[in-house]
Amino acid sequence: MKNFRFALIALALVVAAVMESTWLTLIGLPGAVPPLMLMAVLGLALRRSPANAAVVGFFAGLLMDVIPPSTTPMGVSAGAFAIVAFVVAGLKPYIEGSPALPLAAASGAAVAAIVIRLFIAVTTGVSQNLTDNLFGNLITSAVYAPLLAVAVFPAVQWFDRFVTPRVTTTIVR
Amino acid sequence: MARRRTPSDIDPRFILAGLVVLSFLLSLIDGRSTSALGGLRSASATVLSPMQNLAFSISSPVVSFFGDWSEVGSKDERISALEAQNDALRRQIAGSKDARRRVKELDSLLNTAGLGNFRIVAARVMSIGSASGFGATALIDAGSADGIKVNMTVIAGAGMVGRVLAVTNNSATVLLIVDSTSTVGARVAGSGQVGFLSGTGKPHQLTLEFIDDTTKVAVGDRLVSYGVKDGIFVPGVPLGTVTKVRKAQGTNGQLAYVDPFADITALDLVGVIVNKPRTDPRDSLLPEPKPSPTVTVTVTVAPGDGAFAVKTTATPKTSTTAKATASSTSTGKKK
Repeated sequence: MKNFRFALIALALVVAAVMESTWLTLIGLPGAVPPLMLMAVLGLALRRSPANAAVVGFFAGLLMDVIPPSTTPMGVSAGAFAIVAFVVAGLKPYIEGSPALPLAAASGAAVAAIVIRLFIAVTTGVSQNLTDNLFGNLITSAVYAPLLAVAVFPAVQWFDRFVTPRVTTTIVR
Repeated sequence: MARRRTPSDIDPRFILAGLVVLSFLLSLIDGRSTSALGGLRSASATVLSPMQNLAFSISSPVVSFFGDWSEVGSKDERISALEAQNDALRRQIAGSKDARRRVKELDSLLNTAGLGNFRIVAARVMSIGSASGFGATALIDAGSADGIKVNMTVIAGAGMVGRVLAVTNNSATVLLIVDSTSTVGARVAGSGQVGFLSGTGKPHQLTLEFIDDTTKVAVGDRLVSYGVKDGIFVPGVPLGTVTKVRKAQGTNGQLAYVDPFADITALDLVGVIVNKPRTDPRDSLLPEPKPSPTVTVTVTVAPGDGAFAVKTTATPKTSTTAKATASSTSTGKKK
């Protein structure tokens, strides 16, 4: 049952990656590509322990690093998503009750993810010119993230509740 | 309840630290060599690209589904029937507009391929720019099953798009010419001077540097790809127009900014050149000189001191009009 649940969540993340890499890149919005995958990860992170969220973030980021036509070195988004998911899961007690704070966290996390990604890439000696359109990407990401989160957070959390057996929920609490 | 050691038994900070260290290591290995983790990357591409293909192919039905869906629930039957009809007509117009645009693109692509004697495989762009934010690449829906191999040149009707970076059975990743890591050998049409055209990450600004410091280019000069024997790029493919020239830093040479002919931000239909032509098409593939700025020089003699006032204007005119202007100006001067 646990493996089945794991497979369903993995499948949901793959679907998010496919949607982000095709539809969201082709609609031609200015600046960054709307961070659908990151929002899915954060939606899950708000229902998980920080350690669990970091693991989910790591694999989701890895998926974003390898999905064509990405040329990003493996690990760059993985590390960024792991850190951001860990922090957001840790902030859960402070932002849970409010309707606006999770969205603010989404916006901040999108910006932080870009910065951390840049940091990992630069420190590991990636030769690409990573600062291309950096400012525009930061601003647009900060705007797109909460807009996506409004829909993605409830959807992901509903999905997670749907695939999580009740017994497991009690153990986690 | 007996259970295995779960992440909750370990300090979560250790888990995060472990993952971050792993990320850095992966990036270090994957950023340097292509072989170490290349297998993993191409395996995931093989698994993921069919799904992307599916997502791409259902994207227009999804749009029309939402269009139909919005009509459900309207109470007034007549209004809803008329709205449905209106929407259907509107979709039809949009659809035929889209189809017409695609036909036009294909036409110009085939025209370029025909002129250059290229054999091309046509493909549609499924994804532009990596979702992870850097690297200007595109995913196309043709792969090794269609005869596409790594390093093949990719063109649109207007000109060069890039080269194939990686292939799977039915998709290929294209490194666009605007990517910061892309460099194409370029030749100035007419003068034949050669240089290197590099991407900057900006869609309308590539930079052109010359091997020879004494090379001179001017705004409006057009470039085609320069193919050396066994080089990557097919020679003679139109690249772009020089938009700005300045002195290169640290040398005596020039640095030119180039706007590519192909609109990289709006790619839909592209062609992959699967065979190199036996002869270099030289400048024959360059578009007809239509919107290229023509410089008109008007010379007027100021009465008295005999000094010349020279006015230079750059206007987008056809060359024939420009010639006519020039001749009429010279007759005017003789008077």
